[in-house]
Parts: sequence; C-alpha cells; structure tokens
Amino acid sequence: MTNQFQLKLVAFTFGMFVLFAQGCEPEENFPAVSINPWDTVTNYQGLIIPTDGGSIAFNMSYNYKGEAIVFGSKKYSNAANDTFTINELKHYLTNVILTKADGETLNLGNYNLLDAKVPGSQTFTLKNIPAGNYTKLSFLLAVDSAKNHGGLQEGALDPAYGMFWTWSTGYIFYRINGGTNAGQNYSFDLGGDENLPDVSLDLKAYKLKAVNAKLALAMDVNEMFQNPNLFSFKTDGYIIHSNIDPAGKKLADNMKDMVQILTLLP
Amino acid sequence: MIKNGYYFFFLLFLLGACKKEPVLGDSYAYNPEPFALAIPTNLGWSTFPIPADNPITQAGVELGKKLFFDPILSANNVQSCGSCHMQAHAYADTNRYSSGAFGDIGQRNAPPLFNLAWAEKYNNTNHRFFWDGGANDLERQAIGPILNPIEMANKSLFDVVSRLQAHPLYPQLFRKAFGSDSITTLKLAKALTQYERTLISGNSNWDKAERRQRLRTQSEINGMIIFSTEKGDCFHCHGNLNSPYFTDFGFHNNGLDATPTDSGLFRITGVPSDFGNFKTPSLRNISFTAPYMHDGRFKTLMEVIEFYNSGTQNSPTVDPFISKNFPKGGLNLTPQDKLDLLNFLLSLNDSDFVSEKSLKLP
Repeated sequence: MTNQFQLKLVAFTFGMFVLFAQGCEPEENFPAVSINPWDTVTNYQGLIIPTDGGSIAFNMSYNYKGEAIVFGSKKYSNAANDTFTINELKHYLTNVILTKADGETLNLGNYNLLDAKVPGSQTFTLKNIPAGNYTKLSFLLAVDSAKNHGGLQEGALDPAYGMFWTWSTGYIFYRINGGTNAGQNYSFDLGGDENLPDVSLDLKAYKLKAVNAKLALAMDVNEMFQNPNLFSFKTDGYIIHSNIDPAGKKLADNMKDMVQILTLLP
Repeated sequence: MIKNGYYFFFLLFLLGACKKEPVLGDSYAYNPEPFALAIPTNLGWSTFPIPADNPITQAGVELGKKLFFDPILSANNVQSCGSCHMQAHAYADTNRYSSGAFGDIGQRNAPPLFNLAWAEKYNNTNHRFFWDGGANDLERQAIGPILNPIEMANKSLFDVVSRLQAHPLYPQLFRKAFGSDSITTLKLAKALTQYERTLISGNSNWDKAERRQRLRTQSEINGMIIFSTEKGDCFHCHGNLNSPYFTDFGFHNNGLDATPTDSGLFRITGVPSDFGNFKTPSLRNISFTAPYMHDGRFKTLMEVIEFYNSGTQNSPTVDPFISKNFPKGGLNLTPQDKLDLLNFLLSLNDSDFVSEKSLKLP
C-alpha cells in the first residue's frame, strides 16, 4: 500500500517535471488511463478489430454440394448432367480487401496458393490489420492484372508452382481436372485479366469483436458449373487451357458465389 | 625490446591471417558492381530501361553467361540455351525447326537474340517476346523454353533449381550475384536475362557508315532507298532509317500463307485480327540468322526478297502494307533492285557481334 503510494508520488513528481520541462502543456495531455473507443461500441454489425495489429486467420474447406470432396474416386454430377471425378484442385486467393462500415477499403495485399489436397495450404493468417469496424470482405480467386503481367514473382506466385503459363502471358488462377464418364478426362486451367472471379462476402450478419479473428470459408465446387451460366462439359468443352477460351469466362462468372462463410469466431 | 619485437611480429602475423582469409574465402562474396553496357553512339540508339529489380551487374552477367551455355538447364543435361541460340549465328538456330533436349522437333525456328531490351521500351503491349508474343518481359521469356516439353523439357522449375543448388559452383556464383546461396526461379531468370540484355549488336557496316567510319557503296545506297520508300516498303515494319533497330518490335501477318497454319499472336490474345501475326525480326545480322521466317521456310536472303517481291499471299489478316501491292502483282523489283536491296541488307551484318569473345564462356 505504502509502496504503491510512493510509486504514485514518484510518478507524479516525474510527470510534473516533464510538464514543466515541456513548457506547461494543456492538462488534457497528461497521461491518463487510455480507454479503447471500440470498447464502448455495442451497436454494430460485422467485425470489430479493437486495436491496431489485428489478424484474421483464414481456413478454406472444399465441398461439392455440401459433401466433402474425395479426390480421384468419388463421382460428382453438375446441373448439365456431366459425371466426373476431381483429381486436382488448386487456386490462387489474393487481394483480400476489407471494407469498413463507412466504405473505406483496405487491401491486405496477400497472395496465397491453395491446394484442396494440402490442408496446410488452406490455412493462412493475414496480420497487421488496423483497428476498425469491418462489414465486408472480398478477394480474388485470381491474380490481379498488375502481378499477372508484371515480371516474375516469388513466394506463392513463383512460376515453379506450375500455376503459370510459360508459353503465354500470365498465371493460371484456378486449376481443376479429373476423369469423366464420357470416355475422356477434363482439365480446366483458368486465367486471364478478363476472368477475375471476385468473391464478396457480407460480414453484417455477424457481430464479433476480436483482435485475432478466425474466418472459416467453404468452397462449393458445384457452383462453378451454374449461376449464372449453365456450364456443360459436353458443349463447352473438356479442355480449357488458355486465358482466351470463352468457356473459361463462363466458369469465372459462375465462381463469384462459390465461396461462403462458415463461421467467424474469435 | 626482443619481447616487444616478437609481439610486433605476432601482431603482423595475425593481421596477415585476418587479411588473407577474407580474400580467399570471399572470392564469391556478394558483389553488386554494375556491368558497363556498351550502347553504340551512332544515330538513333537510346538507352534502354533496365528493370529496377534486376540491375545488370558483372557477377550477374557472368553467372547468366554460364547458365546460358550450360545444359544443366535441360531435363536430361544435354541442351543449353546456346544449343539453339548459337552465338556464331547471332544467337539464332541454323536448323529450320529447333529440336529439343530429347530430340523432339518444334514448329518454329529459334529467333536471334540481340538488342532485346529495347523491345521493353518501344513495345508497350503485354506481348514482346517469342515469335507469337507469348511473353511480356525477358524474365518471363527465359523460363518458357526451360519448361517447354519439346524444348528443355523440365517437368518443374523446382527440379532445375535443385540441380543448380546441388552443383559444386552455382550456389557460390548466385551468392556473388545476388547475395545468397539460395537459388530461386526468379534469380535464375534474372541472371539469364542480365546476360541477354548485354547482347548488343551495333557495329555493322551500316553503323560504321552512320558514324562516318566508312562510305556506303552505291549499291547499298540504292538498296537503302528501296528499303525506305514505297518501292520496297520494308520500313513500315522493319523500322525507318532514323531507328537503328530494324524492327518496329511489333507483330504482323506478312502474307506468308493464304491460310496460316500457325495462328501466331492470335493464340495468345484471341483477337481475330492477330491471326497469323508474328514478331517482326530485326534485319541486323541477317546473313547469320538463316533460315528465315518463324518457321524457317526460306533458306536464303534472295528467297526472302523474292517472296516479298512476288510471293505474298492474301488472307483476312494480312498487313495492309503487304496487301496494297496485290493489285500491281507485288513489288515488281528489277534484278538490279533486288541485288541493291541485298547489298543494303548485308551492310546490317555485325561480324564483331557474332565473334565477340566477351560474350562467350572463357
């Protein structure tokens, strides 16, 4: 008790000294217990990151019409009655953009390559997020045009990962392939500046205050083949290996709603 | 005194040890000393842009040169960049169709390599390199042949990088050039392209005449007039006489086929008007770069001249500067005109470039 008093006295004396030394600044500047303005906010929608330097841990899971994907063996069918297996599924997820309640946007500038077969690739944490109330989150299932054409890159964009057209200009944004019951395999390598599937997720249905949030996402592969374009292997083709194939554009348009939020938790 | 002297010599010994060791161990220390580019001084040459993230250094160029001529870059260790891009031929291939590491034959003739960096200055599209414009910068171009299944045939760049990483010398050379033993795709491409950017050809008879170091022959002058007027109409694509590059760095359908079998730039852009368009090659070093055209169909320069004189074919995407001569049945050059044009073209040969020792491996 005495100790604490003495400590306070010392702190006060020191504080006064600093005050005089600085030439009598207004009293409001005198160090007080800081109150986080976000602590008092109770009526809000979406995600509040109450202090600078917050983070969001992403986790992507994959399904087909809600069922977990079994690679290579399980048969799936789409709205156009194609029956097929999925052997490989890889894609970029880049440029996560957070939108604040007042409309201000913040691009977290991430470049992640996710492989549906490699759990480690499906989890990543974006850090150094400033404090704020975020009501929308969006990202590209693609590589933005600047990086798509701007020299060679490292990290997830290293061409060595094979998600890159070495004979043409640019990245393969999304790769899916497998067998079909039509006697031929299918292989879709999607890319091209005109085919940037941007996924926009509304956070307003959630209410969470957390410095470190966890966002679980789910990708329903079936959505590639419908809404708004009915995609058919038989008529649109089994092979898309170029950024200029119009069938690729059809899939890219469908992909905007293929990712949904499962949970947003502290 | 003796004690002090002993101490002094001991110190000297220590000093010597300290001095000597770094010199021996650090001959591969990071050394970012810039490479002095020799850009010719005669009319029209401009400095070219060097990417901010890939400055040209002496160590980088040396490493790039070694890599360029090393078959370690191919899947089976038999083919280097230099196998098809032969220095004695201005880095072009003498075979009509270039063949790959496993002997597979491609569909195109490996183009010459020189004055490449100017393409990044004068071509403002995303299509600058490869015959069909499939690469927008040199760094990206460099990895294309390494992975092409009928060229160097590597399955993955990781394979190439790990072969280099396991090599007794390359990790040190990468350290010297880039500051770390750790080899990456990006550093590999950077080293290769640093060397490629130093491939500057600007000492032909034409350059010497521009620099007033020699006089043009009358036939060359006649040929130059044919080149630079509507008579030969070469200049629209191969650059005017105020430009020393002899290419517009662009893409055209020069009327090789009524129905092009190779779609060229169209394959990359999907734009219908790009069908059958190929990169305009520079006319420099033209004697060394035979055979001619993207598919190497012409063996001699006279065949090429005769093609433009009387052999061009109509197609929906043929360049207007080709098709405008269709009504009069071609260019109608006389035998003397053709000879003059040939002599002008021969004046663009730079024999120093194709024998330059500093560009070869020591």
